[in-house]
Amino acid sequence: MRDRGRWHKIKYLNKDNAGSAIVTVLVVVAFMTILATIMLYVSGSNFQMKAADYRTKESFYYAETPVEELRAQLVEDVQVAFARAYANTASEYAGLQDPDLVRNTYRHRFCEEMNNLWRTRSGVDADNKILWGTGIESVISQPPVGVGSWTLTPIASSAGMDETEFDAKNWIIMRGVEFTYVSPNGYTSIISTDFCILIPEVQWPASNGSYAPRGTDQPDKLDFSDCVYYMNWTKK
Amino acid sequence: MKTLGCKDRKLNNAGMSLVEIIVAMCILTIVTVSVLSIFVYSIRLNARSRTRQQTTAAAQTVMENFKAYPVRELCEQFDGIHETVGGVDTVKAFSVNGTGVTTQIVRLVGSAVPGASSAPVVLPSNDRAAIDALLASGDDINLQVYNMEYQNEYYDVEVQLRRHGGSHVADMQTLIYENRTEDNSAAYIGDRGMDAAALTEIAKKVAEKWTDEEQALPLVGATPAPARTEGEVDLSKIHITKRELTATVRQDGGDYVVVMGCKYWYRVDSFPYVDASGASQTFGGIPETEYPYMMDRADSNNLQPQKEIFRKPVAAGNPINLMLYYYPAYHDVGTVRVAVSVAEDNIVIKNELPVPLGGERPEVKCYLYKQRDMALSDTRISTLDQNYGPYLHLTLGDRVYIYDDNLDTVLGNPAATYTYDPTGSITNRYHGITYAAEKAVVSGPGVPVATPLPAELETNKTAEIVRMMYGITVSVYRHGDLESGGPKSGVSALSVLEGTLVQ
Repeated sequence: MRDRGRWHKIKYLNKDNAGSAIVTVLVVVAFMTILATIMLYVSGSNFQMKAADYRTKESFYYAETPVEELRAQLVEDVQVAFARAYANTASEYAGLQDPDLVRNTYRHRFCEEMNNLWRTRSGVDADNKILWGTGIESVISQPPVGVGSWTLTPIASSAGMDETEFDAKNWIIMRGVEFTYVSPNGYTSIISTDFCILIPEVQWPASNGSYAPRGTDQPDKLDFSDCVYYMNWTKK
Repeated sequence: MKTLGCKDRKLNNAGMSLVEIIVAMCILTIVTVSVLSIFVYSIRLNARSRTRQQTTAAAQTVMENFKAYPVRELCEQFDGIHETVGGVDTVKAFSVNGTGVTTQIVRLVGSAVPGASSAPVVLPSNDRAAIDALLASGDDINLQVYNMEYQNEYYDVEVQLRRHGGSHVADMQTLIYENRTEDNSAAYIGDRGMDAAALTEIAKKVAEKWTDEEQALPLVGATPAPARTEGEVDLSKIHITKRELTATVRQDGGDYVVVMGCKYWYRVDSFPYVDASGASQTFGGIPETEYPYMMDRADSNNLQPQKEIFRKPVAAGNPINLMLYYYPAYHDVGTVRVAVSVAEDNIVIKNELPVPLGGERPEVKCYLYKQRDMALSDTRISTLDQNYGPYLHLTLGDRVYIYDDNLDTVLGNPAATYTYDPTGSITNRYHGITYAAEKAVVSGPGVPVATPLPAELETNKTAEIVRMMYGITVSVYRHGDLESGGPKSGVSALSVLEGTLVQ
């Protein structure tokens, strides 16, 4: 008797699905809401990432500007140093006689002129060392108002450009230049590089004043913008 | 009567399922509409993200492409310049990702002048002269790319090149010049001892004149005829007023030849002396007189007024490049006295090469240097030294170009004479050029004034000057939104990147 009652109850319960529709709907709605929320979140994050990517790229190109301004100035300096070194050496070439001596004289004079240019531009400290930061900041310009600003990380003063690879590689190096750019919306780009300055190669006359035929490794043209390039360039 | 209890009463649920379902459907509909709108928004957001990413990447690709090339190269690629490479007619054409695109260059005329209005001009294709004019003008350049494919999408891209504003590097230029070849030769003209040697010889002339004058006086007794020597001449009475070195370029058979000559002009003050009889006399002096100096002293028994300093076979079409190292004629400056003071220094370069039929006289290029004096500082003739003004006059003939170092032009156009003013200030790298332009004195009516710079825009010239730095803006538009004059009205770029371009 009791079992029959329980069975009837179960049977009754099985037949009594009043409210099941609403329950089903609630379950489905909950599921859809969760799904939509997740989708919205992912889409929003994706959009933010793309926007951040764009701002980062935009910030990078702004940050590159002072670096390129400095490079343009160095190209100008190479021209001046070259003209002076070449003219000074050319006036003495008959007395120098030896072609290697002529070339070395010219190369050393070039380095002297580059250092003199920066010594004049930058000033020196009490130990007669070049204040690179002062000179670099006098060369670069700040961006227009509303575009952010960039600052130069302080550079240690030194006697001159790094000439440790002068003989082996025919270049001198301005080391440790780092610019930090901060955009109006807070994105920061830091570009750090050294500037490698190649000594322009020129053809020298023989002691009698005539030039030997141009060798195959002698460049046809001398483009001074090829004499300055970045070395150890990094972006943070 | 027995009544039914609650327990026994069955509820009448007929129709409840329908109500339930209707209610459930209403709820479901409301929520679904809301959720679907969120889905749609998400889809749009994803589409925008994708567009943003793609256009940013496209803009960056174009930016980096542009930064890799010189501006002239870019313009030539955009302009579809034809070139012969290995005997084959080849067209330089700009392309992104290797796909063919339609490009054009638009010049914003007058944009280099503050306040001037810019009327856009589309450059004709395959026109190198138009590119030369564009680059020389300093006007802003718009390079437009139509129908550029990037990641299976098509875009129109506009790249603006303009002077990099707000910086003194905006106007910087760099030189591209040819290295010297075997066509160039050099010669020393004059030396430290030349003026002193000339003074000694002039003193001999003075001594001769002095002797003649003294011998013309009434003789006193049977004394030997007076014979004055240059050693007796007071050199301070001799004033060398002018020295002129002349280089003449001519053709000798199958060779180009350059010969040097030199003349001095001097005057002598009158001075008192005691003649052989012991009487006081006065030498009358000598008015300004020309003295031709013997340049060729190889044979002491056969001194020649002109010396050959350069010879090379004639080669049609090649200019003559001549490097001249001359010793300046120094003069007294302030309280500083030089051994031999020459008031005025002149260099004349004449081009007497024959003019071919229907052609032009061959060009002569001179690179002029001072011979270095260790007591002085600089080899450039336009730079002040301790004793050198410079009071240098240059007179050039037809088709003669002169440079005061290996790079800068002193005189660009022939047939002009000018004097360097020693009080002029020199402040910039191109001082040789601006100096000449400011100080040029035309030698006669109708003679053109020296042109400071030749139009060095051809790659086969000695030097080419190009602007070093540009500001660059890359704007990516939907395909069809870009026209010659710019984007269609009401349309904004999908992505914009700004940066700088250094040659």
